[in-house]
Formats: sequence, structure tokens, C-alpha cells
Amino acid sequence: MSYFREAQAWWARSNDKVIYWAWFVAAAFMLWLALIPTDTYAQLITASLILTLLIVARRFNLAGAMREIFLFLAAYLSLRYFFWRTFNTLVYFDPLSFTLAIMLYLAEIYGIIIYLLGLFVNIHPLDRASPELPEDPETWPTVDIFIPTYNEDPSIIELTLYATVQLDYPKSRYTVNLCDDGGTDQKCNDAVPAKAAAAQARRKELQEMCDRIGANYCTRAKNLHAKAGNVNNAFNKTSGELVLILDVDHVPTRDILRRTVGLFLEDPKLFLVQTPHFFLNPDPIEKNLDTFKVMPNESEMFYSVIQRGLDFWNAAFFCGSAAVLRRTYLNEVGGISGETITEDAETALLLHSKGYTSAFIRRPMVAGLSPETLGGFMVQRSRWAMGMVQIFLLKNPMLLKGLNLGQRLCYLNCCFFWFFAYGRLVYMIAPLGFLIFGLKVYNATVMEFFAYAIPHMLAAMFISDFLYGKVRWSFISELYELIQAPYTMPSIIQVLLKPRAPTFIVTPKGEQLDKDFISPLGTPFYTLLFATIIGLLVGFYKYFHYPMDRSVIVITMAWCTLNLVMIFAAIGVMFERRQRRAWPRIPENLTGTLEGAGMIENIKVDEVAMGGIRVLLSLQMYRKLKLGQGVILNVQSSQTDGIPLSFGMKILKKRIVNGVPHLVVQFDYQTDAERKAAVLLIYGDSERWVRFQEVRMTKRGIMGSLGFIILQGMRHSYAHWSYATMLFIKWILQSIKNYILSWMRWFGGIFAWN
Amino acid sequence: MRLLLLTALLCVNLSSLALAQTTTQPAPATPAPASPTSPAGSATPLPAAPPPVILDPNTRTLASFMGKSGQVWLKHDEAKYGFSVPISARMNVTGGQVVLNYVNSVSLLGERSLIYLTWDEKVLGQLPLMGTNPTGRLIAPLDIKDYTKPGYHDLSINVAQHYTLKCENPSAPELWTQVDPISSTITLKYELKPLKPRLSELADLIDDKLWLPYKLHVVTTSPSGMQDQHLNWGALVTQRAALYLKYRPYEFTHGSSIITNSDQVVIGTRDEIASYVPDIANNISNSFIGIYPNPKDPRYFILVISGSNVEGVSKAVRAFSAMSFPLPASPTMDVSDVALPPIAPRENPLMAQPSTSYRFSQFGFRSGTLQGMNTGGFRFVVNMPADFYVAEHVNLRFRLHFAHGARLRPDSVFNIFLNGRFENVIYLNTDSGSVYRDYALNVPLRSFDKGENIVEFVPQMVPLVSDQCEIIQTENLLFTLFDDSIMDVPAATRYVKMPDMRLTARTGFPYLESTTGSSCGVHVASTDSGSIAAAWMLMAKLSRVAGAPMTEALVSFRPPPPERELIVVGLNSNIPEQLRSAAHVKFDSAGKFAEVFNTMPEGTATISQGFLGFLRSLGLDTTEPPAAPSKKLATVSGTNPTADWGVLLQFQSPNASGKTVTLCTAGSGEILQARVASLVKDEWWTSIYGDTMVWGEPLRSIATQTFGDTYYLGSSNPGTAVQYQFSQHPVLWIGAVFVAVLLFAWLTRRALAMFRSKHHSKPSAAKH
Repeated sequence: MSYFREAQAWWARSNDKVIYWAWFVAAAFMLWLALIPTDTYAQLITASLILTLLIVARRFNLAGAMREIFLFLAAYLSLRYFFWRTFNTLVYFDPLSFTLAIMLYLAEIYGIIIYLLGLFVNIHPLDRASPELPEDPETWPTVDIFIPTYNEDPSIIELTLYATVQLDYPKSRYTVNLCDDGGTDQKCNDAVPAKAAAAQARRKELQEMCDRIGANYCTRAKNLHAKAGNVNNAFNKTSGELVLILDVDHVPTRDILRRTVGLFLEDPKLFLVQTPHFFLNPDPIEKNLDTFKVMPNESEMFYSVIQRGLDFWNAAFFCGSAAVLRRTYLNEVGGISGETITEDAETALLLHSKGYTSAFIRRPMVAGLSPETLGGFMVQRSRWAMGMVQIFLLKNPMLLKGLNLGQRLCYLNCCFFWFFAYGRLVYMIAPLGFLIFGLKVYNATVMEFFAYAIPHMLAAMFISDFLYGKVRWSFISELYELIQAPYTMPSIIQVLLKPRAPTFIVTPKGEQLDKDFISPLGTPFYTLLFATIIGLLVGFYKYFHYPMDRSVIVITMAWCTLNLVMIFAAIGVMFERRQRRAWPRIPENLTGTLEGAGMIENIKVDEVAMGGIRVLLSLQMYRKLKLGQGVILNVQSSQTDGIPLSFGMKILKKRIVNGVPHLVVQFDYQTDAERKAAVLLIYGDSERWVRFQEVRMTKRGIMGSLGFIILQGMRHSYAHWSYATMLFIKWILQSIKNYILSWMRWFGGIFAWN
Repeated sequence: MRLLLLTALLCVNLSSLALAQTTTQPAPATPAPASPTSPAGSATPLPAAPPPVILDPNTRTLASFMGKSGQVWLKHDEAKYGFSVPISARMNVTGGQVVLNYVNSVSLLGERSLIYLTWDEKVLGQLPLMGTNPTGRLIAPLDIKDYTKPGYHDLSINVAQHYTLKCENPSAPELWTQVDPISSTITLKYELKPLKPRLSELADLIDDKLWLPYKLHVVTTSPSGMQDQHLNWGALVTQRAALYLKYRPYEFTHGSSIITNSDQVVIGTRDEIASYVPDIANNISNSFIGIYPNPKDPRYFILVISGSNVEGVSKAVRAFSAMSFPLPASPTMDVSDVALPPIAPRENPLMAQPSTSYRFSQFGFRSGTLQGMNTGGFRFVVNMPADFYVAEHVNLRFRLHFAHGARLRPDSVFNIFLNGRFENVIYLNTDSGSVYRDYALNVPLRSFDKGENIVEFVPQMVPLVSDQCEIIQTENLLFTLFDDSIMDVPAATRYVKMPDMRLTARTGFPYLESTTGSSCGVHVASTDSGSIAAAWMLMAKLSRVAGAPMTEALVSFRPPPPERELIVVGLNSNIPEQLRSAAHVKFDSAGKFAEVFNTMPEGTATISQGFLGFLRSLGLDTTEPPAAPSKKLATVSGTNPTADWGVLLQFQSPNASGKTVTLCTAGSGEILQARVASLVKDEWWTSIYGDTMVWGEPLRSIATQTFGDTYYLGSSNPGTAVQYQFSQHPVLWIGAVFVAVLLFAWLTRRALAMFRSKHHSKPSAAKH
């Protein structure tokens, strides 16, 4: 027994190292198992069995060790594919074929690396709770809120200011600072008088706004280092222990400081608490494909899953807004670092390398705006791509001292991800290389393809669906990447050639689209569509004329067909829909009363927006009220400790929907207080954003998702072509008309002369 | 949709898995090959097969001169099929005839179509080919003495075929004639000549050109007086004789007296053989080889290999058995003072080794040019080691240097065949002709059989101008393959599953690790002449595989050392007890096989056809479907079930791990000798399969099975064994993966928990 106790004691003492060494040995064993070359038939059997198990397991809510087993089984299939692909399929036939074959291989290697890194990052996502603050508010840290602005609409700025001055935090313990880069001395003294006048007017307007609302206006002499310089300027003029940075369109909820500040008290080495970016309006892709109400937003994968995974590895990084940072640590790195144009991530990288910690709170506590147009979207994504590639090149997380292995891999994942454009474009052209030009890009038999490639693809889809299924449907990533690829690829190449060249470009927000139009960004997709259709036609021809190659042709055509689905969806996105509403509408479920036409009744509110509120009421009252009539709306808000908020409203619309009378009432602001109350009502409650997210967090499954994309893509692509056809017909008719008119004028001129 | 996919995958997987289990089950029994007897030549028209009739010994079917089975097709406007007919120097041919049974197309025009027979390009006879009378028989006499000299003679069947008096398509499908090689015969009237033999003429005396199966009687001292050296002498002499005969069948007998009606060799010391050849004994020197006509029958010879003592005889035997020893043009030779080269390990020059590049010339190939259409191809033989094991994707690469003529029609191709199977093709599409260097072609190494492989390069050239009424010239149809073309053999490991008697029959593995047989030990368990002769015949067969006598093989009446791979030949009752216990076939005390035949398990399919068949039906798998296994059990009843049967077994040696025992036995010496005499004939030898073979007479009574324990020989690298086992038994692989994943997942979980407790110990990060 004593020996047993000694063994136990030894195990307990040496547990860490033993476990880690054993883990490496087990990993090496798995790699060795993946490396063994076996007969194709045996591979087919094994892969089929593993896939069967994965399909069965997916139906269950896997947790604990079962989760890891699922992930590693799927990863094993991908490793098998990787080694087979590397050692068996790269054969030289001719220079052109080999070039494309290597390009395709590198694209696949990229995919597998990202896939494995993603597995690492998301192996154990962390769910943090917000610790309670001490009872004495005087012991709470002081916070400076920075809202950098450049050229955004003042109405957006006002909204954010209203929200920030109403936070659930002692007024004496925080300040609100509007950091205006649009009204700097440099701008106000611009050589162009019109620009100078605009800057001066802007400065004046915003100063008055800040005075009115109770915020501090801050600007600087020169526009140096873009947003980072702007924030650093305000940084040096303030003294709070913590700083909360908000983009100008990121309206915070009341509890943002309550839920984040406590973490700084808990962990003295904490430099950052990042919270999710949550968007009230659809991004251009969601809008143009009409997916906003049913499909999770693109950002939710990053904020609901990936950041939690990064948080586990102490690598949750600063995303530029909706984050609280500790001043003292920021001071150590000179504030928000600006060597790259994604200064936020760069700052976090530096602070991580100094041994400080970060945290991520999953709860959305800001409500922001996505870019309205594809142009704005591409500007934003190009900036992110360039910035992260700059970090990859200039800061290189794999070599930066001070990071641990987990952090290095996490940052590598985040930086390397942005090379997706290369992979997407290669996947588009590779099958065309074979079909149209007969290039031999993939040396494998059909049997091998089914034994190695198909299981890998399915396994990758299963893992993706397993990890992200609720927040990112299958094939949606591919669609987003395809749409961005033609535009981020040149940006990346630019950075690779000149890493220090890129400059910060502000993402346009709050744009309004008055009418539908076809985006000028569609050209690459028309080209791809044309090429892919040609490829498929050639494929059909070859199918009948080259019977020996039929199986390969079928596989390649299937690949092209999948590409075609994506291209059609991308073309659907290229048809920009008009944005009718200035303010996003938010579903809600509030109770209150409505006073008007001499009546006062209990009503329900099912939709709120800064422009107005939708009210459900009784038929009797509905009939009595008239359009344009003033009413008073009293609603219960969770943010006012039971005290109802009261608003003067005007009736904008009346309708009966499914037998239920509705009124759309517009805010009729008489005072600032009313505006503030409206902001509080609409934007103050983070629980609302949680519910908003949860409605869309549904799994669709792989086939369901594919069907969804096919349907939406075809619908909107058809709309695109219909619109284009209509424009073309209009143009033809107009041309004919102009021609006839010119003839008539000419004839008329002759008669007149005569 | 998900349920459908799940169900489909489950069904596929379960069926594949269930059938994959059967890879460990016994291999199927082989079907019995065709009977060697042929139906008698008669006027019975084809295609009805006449009943088999034993032929006159002087008559052979044309099929017996063909390298492969099948009918003889003569197509297109002009065609020719040639046979190489041997005539031995020992044969005094006085005449003969050729009988040709044929069927021609009913479309042929009698005025312009004919069939004619040539012998060494001399026309023997001709007949018109008439569409109105499609069956025919051409009988041509062979009475020309000058044309029947010793050697190989070309007997060609030639046709000129036309279907119209006007211009025609020379390759029209209706232009054909079929000759039945089984009912078509050649008869030679000959007698064996009286001999005045000389040692330099041994190749013409032990002659592969003799028409009848060759018999050699070996005379030594009486079986009771035989020692190991007698066994060894007889083994070497008979092996050399078998090699003289090349591929012709042979039969060796043993005795202690001179007989008639057969060549014989007398081996022993002077004192031992003096009573057999008293007239010669006095002339025997210290080490002596002599050849004489048999005084009782001068058509046959007596070869005497002797000496004054054991060493002298051994030296004479070594000299005789050497492949290139210069024997004099005299009846006798004294080798006492001849210095023989030392025995050294000899590599089979035709054996391909891994990670080696070979020029075609190393396999005996010489540059050659083919001209015309349907000219045949280039071929050479390459042997692959018996225990090669490579991954599926590993390719052998040919780097060809060749040239082809100009103005070939676009459908001209250059086909590559391996063992008669089409493997690859080169498209000859350069209109101006071309010379290629290092044209690379890959053939999967697994496509090669273990042992002998025939590689054929066959150009199919068609003239560009080939229409009706065109002058068609084929002088531009030229193709040259250069003998400095290269064959790159990739790296390979050694790993093979045993027992596998088919492998042994094809390659001699594991007995011919060295072609001198240094790893081979033959235990002649019985001392009767039948067993001795049987052992010699088996060794002779192996020597043909090796290409030279196994000078270092150990043959003995006692069990050889355990480090040798063992062949045991003897009667059931003389099988050593240790081997009897180790064999997977159980003998009873009387050496009977009662148990094995009553309980022999049936063979089952070795390859799953379920999923592969499914893929094939979709056109997604073009691999050849496995041959359907045939089941054949040897059923014997009676009190002495082994009486007429020969039994061949192979199993792992109980004396040494990794060593093989091949056991050949029967109930009596006569039976054993007769069975082995049949076994070493090609049509039987190629039927050897599995680890258990039982055969009798006639040829159809072969049964083979695989049901003993398997073992593996080859590389000590565990990776090779794992690769092999996982490929053959996916269940093992799946099990290993699951164990690895479970372990890895558990360790990962522990590591993550440790990481979490170290880095996320704050309450906010606690698990919720």
C-alpha cells in the first residue's frame, strides 16, 4: 500500500509534465497513424466508418470528452488527406499544369492550416461571468470614455453620446469624451475654403452637442496617425484608470461598465476586456440576400465562438471598440500603437507579449451599424486584411518575444486567416484549368478521391458545423470570402510588397441608399460566372467525347457547380437594395399605455427604433385615432427601475396586420430629456441584444444551409439580371428615342431652312 | 436527407466491414486447369469439341507449340501465324504431315482467298478459302528430308483473304479465318537414332527439342547403402538435366540397376558403380565424366559420373552441373586436375532490386526495329522479388528511348502490356515522326507479379493512307525501341504473408533467397527410390526457377539445420513427429488424412464486392473485379484415403521462427514419384495454391486450400508490418485510430483542465 501511496504522490507531483509529455507522445502517435500509407480500399473502409460515427454523433449534444473525440476523429480524416495529398498527388506533367497544381495545393494547405488552427483556438471556449463590483462605488475605478469621430453624421454621434451619459455607473467616476478628428485645427485651416468652413461648422456643432448632452469635446491640432492618434490625444488629456473606447456608431447599453470593470479589480494584470460588436442593421450581403432576420450575423461567429476560444488561451484581442483598457498598461506601449492600420490588434499583441492578460465578455453591450454599401464593406474588410497581414509581417506573432505558444498560434490564426482570398480564387479557377485547358492539377484516381478527399471535406464541414453551426451556417463563410476575395487580394499583395505603405481609411457608416442599383463591384463575379459556365459546357462536351475521363470530369463539374452556386449568390449580393429606413428596427416586447383621442389604454410595443415605435392596440382606439394625431406613450423599461418612460408621439402609420391593429408612432421630441429617454428605452438594455441574437442562433445543417444559399442566391441573382435587363432595355429605348429625335431635329432643320 | 445519408453510409460500411473480415479467411480453392490431353484430330468440324483421345506419341497438337492457349485468328487481307517446331538431333525424321482444321468467313471470295502452309518458308500445301464452304482441312505432307534437320523450324499458316474482286478495305472485319490448334496436328515419323555420344553434345542429348517428355534414370548404389552424398550428387545432376531441357517436361527415376528405354546416369565411386558398368569402371579416373551408348539399347545413353573416392565424384558432379563448364568433344573427361571456380552466391540477372535503375539491355533486350502493321512487339522478362511490398501508389517508371516513323495515321499507338495486360499507352501523333528520349511512363509496382513478368511494348501502327483503292505502303511504319531505355525500380520493403505455395512455385521463395540455394534444406524422409526421385524432381523444378543448379542446397536423409528453409519429401509414415504435430493437416498414426478431408473448410471471397461493386456500377471504379472463387473440396472415402493422393503442405517451421516447411508426401514411394512427376509439369505446377494441395490423376483432381496459420516474413521495420496489416485488415486500423483518439482526447482534456486551473482560476472564469 505504501508503494501505491508513493506512486500516487509521484503522479500528483509530476502530473503536469507527465501529462504534457504524454500528450506529445499521443499526438505523435496520431500523426504517425495519419502518415501510414495504406491501400485505398482500407482507407475507404476506415474513412466511411469514421464518417458514419461523426454523422451519428452530430445528432447529440456532445460535451466533455465526447466533444474532443468528435473533433479529433474528424481532424484525423483531414490529416490523412493532408499527407496523402502531399506525398501522392503532386506529379509533374508540364509546367502549366504543375503551376496550377502547386497553386491549388497551397490553397488547400492554407485551408488545412486554418482549419487545424481553428480547432486549436476553439477547443475550449471560455464563458466568463461579470464579477460583482464592491459595495462602495468610491472604490470603483474611474473610466474615461473615448468616442473617436471623423466624418460621421451628427445624428449618429448624438445617439451614442446620449447613451454614454446615461450609463449605470457613478457619474463622478466616469467621463465621456468625443474625440473629433473632423474638426481639428488642421482641418479648420484647410487651404480649400469650403473644406475649412465645413470643418469649422462641424466643430461648432459638435461642441454645442457635447455641451448640451454633457460630454467633453476634444480635438487636436493635426490629423496624425488616424484613429489611433486621435484616441492617444484624448488619452493624454485624461486621467481615468480605465478607458472605454467606442466607435461613434456603437451605442452602449447602460450596464457596459458594470459588467466589465469588475474584471479589472479581479485581475490586476488585466489590460483589456473586450465585448462583442453587435449590429442592428444588416450588412450589405445580408441586406441584398435578405437573410438578416433568419441567419446569424457574420460577426457572431467571431464574437460568440472565436473570441471565447481566444480568451481561453489568453489571446482575446482588442477590436477597436466596445472594449475597456487599463491606462497604466497602455501607457507602457505608448497608447494605441499605430505601426499597422489595425492598431487595435497590434496594441493587444504588444501587451500580451508583455505578459498582461485579457478577457472577453460574451454579452453584447454595444449596438452598432454595419456598412450600408458594398463599397463601405469592402473598405472595411480591406483595411482589416491589410492590417492583419501587416501584423503578420511586421510583428510576426510566431517570433515576438513574450508570447506563449497558445498566444502565438491564436494570433497566427487571426492573421493568417486573411489570406483566404488566395484560396477562394484558386478554388474558382482550378477546376476550369482542367475542364477548359486540360491541365492536370490533381493526380489521383476517382477511388482515391472518394477515399481521401470526400471524407476530408465532409469532416471539415462537420467540424465547422459542430463548432460554429449556430452562429455561422455552412457555406456562408465561403460566400463572404468569395465576395471579398477579388478586393482583399490586391490589398494583401500590396501589403506583401510594401508592408508599411497602407493608410487608415475610415469605414463609411450610416450611408443611405435611395434606390436599388447594381454595384460596380460585380465585374469579377461576372467574369467568374462566364468562365464557370464555359467550363461546364466544355465539361459536358468532354463527358461525351472523352469517356475514359468521365469520372474525373463529373467530379470537376460538380466542383464547378458548387462554385456556380456561390457565384450566383455573389451576383445576387451585387444588386444593392435601397435602404428605406434611417434607423434600424428592433423587435421588442414591452407593455405600456397610450393616451390619445380622449382614451387611455394598455398597449403592447413590439418594435422600437429611434425613428418610431410600433404599437399594438385595441380596435376601438385604433378607429378613433387619426394619422398625424399626437399621442402620449408610456412604456415600462427595465432600465428605469420600474419608472415608466413617457413620450410625446405622432401617429405616422395605421394598419391592421393579421387582424391586429397596429400603429407606427413617431417620436415628437420636444426636449433633450425625451431624446435621452428614447435612447435609454431603445438602446439601454443589453438583454434585448441577447434575445435579438438568440432568435437567429439556429442551426440549419449543411444541406439546409446549401439549399438556403441556392434559393436566396438564385432569387436575388434573378432580380439582379432582371434589373440589369430592364436597365438595358431602358437604355436601348432611350437610345432609339434619342436617335429618332435627332433625325426629327435634322428634318425639322431642313424644313425650317427651306 | 441526413437520415438517408446516414443509412447509406451505414449499409455500405457494414457490408464492407463484414466482408473485409474475410481477408483473413482462407483463400478460395483454385479451379482445376484444363486437361493436358487434347481431342484427337478428326474431321469433326468445329466448334463442337470432340471427346479427348490419346494421341499417337509421334503426333502433337499445334496448341502444344503455342505459348498461350486460345484459337488462332488470321485477320485482314494478309495474315500469318507461325509456330516453332523443334526437331531433335536424336530424331531421325523420315516423314510426317500437318493437318490443319480451319473455319473461314462466309464472306470470303474463293477466287482470291487461300490458305497455305509453309515450312521454313517452303510452301507445303494450299487450299482456297471459300465462303460457300467455310470449314476445311488442309493436309500437307512433310516428306522433305532436307527440311527436317535438327533445330527449330518455322511452320507458318498464311492466308490471303478478299471479299471482292475490286478495291476493298484490307482490314474489313469479315476477312478472317480461324484455325483450331487443338484439332490441328503435326505428325513426324521418326525414330531415335543410335548414339555415339560426346560430352560436348549433352545439350543435344538431353534435348528440349525431343517430342516426348524426357525421362532420366539415375543409378546409384542401392537405397539401403545410400548416403547424403548420393542424394546430393543425384540432385545436382538432375537439376542440370532439367536446365538442359529448359521448359520441357521431365521425369526422373532412381534405381540401382541399368534399364532400357531411357537415358540414364550412373553416379558413384568407382567401387560403387563397378557392378553397373563393369566395362567402364577400369577407365574411371580420380574424377571422371563419361558418356556411352547403352549397350542394350544404343538409342539411349549412359552417363557416368564417378571418381576414385567421394571427393572425386563430388568434383565430377560439380563440373557436370556447372552451367558453363566446357565439356570436350569426346566421350570421356578427366576433371581431376581441373580447377573449378568456387561456389559463390549468384544473383538472378533478371531479378529487379529496389531503388535500382536498369537498362533494358540488362534483361537481355536488344534494340530492334519493327516495321509494318501487326508486327508484334518488343518483350523482355523481368523478375520481381517474391517478398516485395510497396504502397499502392508506388510506381515503377519506364524511361523510354524510342523513335517512330512519319506519316502514321492518328490512331497509331504504342501499347505497353504487362503479363498480357494492357497498362499504358503512348499516342504516336507526331506526323513528322519523332525521336523520344526519357519518355516517362509509370506502371504501379503492384501491377507486377512476384517472380517472372513479361513486359511487352507493342506498337500498333497504321499507315496514313489506307483507304479503298489506295496504294497502301507500310514502309514508313517503323518503330525502334532502344535497349538503353531505363526501368527505375522504386524503393520497396520486404513483407509477405505466408504460407503461400503459389509464391513458392512462381519464385522459389523462401528457398531461393540466394539462387545457389544456400538457405534451402531438403530432408528426404524416406529412403525408397520413389521418394528420392520425387525429391530430385522437386529440386530440379526449383532450379529452373533459379536459373541454375542450387549448388549450396543441403539435401539429406536427416533433418537439415533449423536455420535452413525446409523441404520435406517422403512417405506419410516417415514424416518426423515434430513436423507432424506442427502441420495444420493432421495425420493419424498410420499417416492417413482422414480428418483433413472430412473437415476441410470452404474458401470464401477475399475481397469485398459490395462497395466496390457499387462504385463500379457508377463507373467510378475501373479496377478489375476479383475472380469469383471456386470451391472445391477433396473428398476421399475409404479405409486408406491417402492411397492415390499426393499431398503438398506448407507451414511455419516449429524449429525456428520465421522459417518455412514445405512438405510433400504420399502413401507410397511409387505414388509419391508419380504424383511429383505430374506436379512438376507446367500445367500442374501453375495450379499450386494456398497452403494445402491434394492431387491425384487426372489433372482435374486438384484441390487447394488455405486454412493453416499465417505468418509474415520480411522487413523488421514495424512500419512495414503496420502498413501491411492495416491495409489488409482495416478493422485493426480502425481500432488503433479509436484507441489513439480516445487517448489523445483524454490527455487533451487533462491538459486543458490543467491549463485552465493555472490560467483561469478567477471566479469570473469558473465553469458555469
